[in-house]
Amino acid sequence: MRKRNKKFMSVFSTEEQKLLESFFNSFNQKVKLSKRRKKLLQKDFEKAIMWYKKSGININKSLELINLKNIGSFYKTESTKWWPLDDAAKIYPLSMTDHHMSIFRLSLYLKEKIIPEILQLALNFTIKRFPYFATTVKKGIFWHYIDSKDGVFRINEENKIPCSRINISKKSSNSFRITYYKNKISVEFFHILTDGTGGMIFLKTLTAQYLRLLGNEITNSNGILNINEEPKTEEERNEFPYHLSNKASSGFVDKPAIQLKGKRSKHLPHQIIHFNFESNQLKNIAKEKNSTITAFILALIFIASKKASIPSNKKIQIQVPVNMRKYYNSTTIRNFAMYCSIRLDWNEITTVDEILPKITNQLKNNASLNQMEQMVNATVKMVKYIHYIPLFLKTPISKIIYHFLGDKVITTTLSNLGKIDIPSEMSNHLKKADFILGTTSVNKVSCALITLNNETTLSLTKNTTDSSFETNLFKLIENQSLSINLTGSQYYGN
Amino acid sequence: MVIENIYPKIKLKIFSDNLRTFFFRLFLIATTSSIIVNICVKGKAWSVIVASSLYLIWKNFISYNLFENNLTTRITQFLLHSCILLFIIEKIFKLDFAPFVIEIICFSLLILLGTLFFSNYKTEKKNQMPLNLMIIGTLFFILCYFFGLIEMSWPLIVLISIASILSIIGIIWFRKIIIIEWKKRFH
Repeated sequence: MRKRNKKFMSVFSTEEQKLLESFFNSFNQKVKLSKRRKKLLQKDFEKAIMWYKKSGININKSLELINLKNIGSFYKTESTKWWPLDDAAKIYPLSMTDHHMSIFRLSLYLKEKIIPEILQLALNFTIKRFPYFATTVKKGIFWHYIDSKDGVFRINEENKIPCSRINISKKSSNSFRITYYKNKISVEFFHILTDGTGGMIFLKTLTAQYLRLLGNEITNSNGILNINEEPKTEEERNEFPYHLSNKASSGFVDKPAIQLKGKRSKHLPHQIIHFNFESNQLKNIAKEKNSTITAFILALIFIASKKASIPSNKKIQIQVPVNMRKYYNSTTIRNFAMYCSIRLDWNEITTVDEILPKITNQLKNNASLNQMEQMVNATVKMVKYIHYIPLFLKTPISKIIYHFLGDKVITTTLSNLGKIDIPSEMSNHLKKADFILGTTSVNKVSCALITLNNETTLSLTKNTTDSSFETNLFKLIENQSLSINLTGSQYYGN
Repeated sequence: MVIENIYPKIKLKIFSDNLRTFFFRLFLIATTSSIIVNICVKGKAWSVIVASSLYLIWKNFISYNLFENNLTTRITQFLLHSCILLFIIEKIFKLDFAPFVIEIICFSLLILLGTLFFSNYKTEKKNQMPLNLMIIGTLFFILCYFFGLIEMSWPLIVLISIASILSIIGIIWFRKIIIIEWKKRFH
């Protein structure tokens, strides 16, 4: 046992010290990291043990909870794995600038305050099940790629603007960030790694592990992965090339859309706003109108967008990401989503009841398997065509193309992650979830929807100081007799 | 519409952002004005040197690389930018010192990158591209010599010798990891 451990050991009885010595001897055998990293990891264990002691949990029980089998050989053997980016992820590093990076955030709100010592340990255990996330982004000659990295992964108390840039330029930088604040655990991903579904699998697995470390029994079901199981190759698979069809390729080129009025904030996002609904109430209203929750919320967003924009001949276009896993039997945790656009003329947007059938119809057609297959074809073919253009040429060209075909062709986005499936024993510990999209270079607002237990949260990422969009959306929701409560952040920009 | 704040209070780092914007605008104004003045007063294209120098300062000291912004890449980038600047100065003022100085910079860079690689092999093995590319870059000097664009000098001999030694060491002892790294970079 190293000398600096004396202070830590002194609080334990001789019997307990013997158990701890044996525990840390095993730790030393299982961890082959650099001195600094090993010290960090050991400190994590010490802090957790101290927390258990302070909470009155005896040493045997605490050592059983933090069983070293949970770290496996992750910290012992050097990983040499690397992965080319999946076809959907390839655009993200190319379109990235000093100010813009595609990031999204997923949060789970627990009923109790988060204990950082335990959350850190939960991450130390969970990360080994997600080797694809324990990586760093590198720059190749033709494409960027994901390279495995050794080291320890840290959690931090939330002290940054949601979805702010992740510095991925350092040798050991991660492409994700885990934070906690009061009773909330958040994970922010650079889109290069995964999409909302993959991100949620990670967050659920991490939270389940956190709850287990607090002595709860949580089963590995409903999308929670067994952390002591070997990662499966199909989870790390780039699915796109496997789903090429004979159909035509289409889906990228579109006309510029109406943008909401308002000055862009100096610091982005300007504000985060959550509209918290009671799920059953929202579902019933959507059902009464013969539509789905997505279509109903889209109708409200269309009307609010109309009221927050200047009349134009262009259309209001809302981008809706489509989870491709619903069409194909895939367990990948990498990006596997395409998107469709729902378009309505400015004058066409009248009342919820009038536009709902149009939206429902467009959703049905534009997000159909046929349309998505065409988009997958276009994505795979485009990646193939530009493969051998060196990055130093590809990057500026992609930035120009992205400028015209990226955010300009949509007014806003609505990403619905749906109802989060969790085991019943876990739902007792969770209050709600939220899903925040990162800022975009053009659009004034982005919307994301998520449901957990009986609470649906619509989160707005505001990029403008103009409040007309959310004010109109709030009035529309009130007119629909839906009860909501609003939560959010301070104004970050001006 | 009352919004309950459920986020921590964040202090924005406005100063560094504003400083970068300030320098960007300053450099843009300086470059544009020097080009205008240069066109007005005619003579040698010294404004190209101003623009290149400002680009060097911007790229190496104010802006940062979005990917792999580590010590090795930063040193390599800075020294190579300096070589380009020296070459421009030489061409504009019709001097005759650039190849000599550039060769010295290049072999110094090779020694530095080689030392960094061998002294910290475990972490630097995934960061060997600047060294590999510098070794390949030496071929450019050899070609220039064969085509009579540069003369044989002691820095050129040292540069070729160091590049050869590093290549031989690499091929004999580090062949496997070099191949793995090249596969990743050229995928």
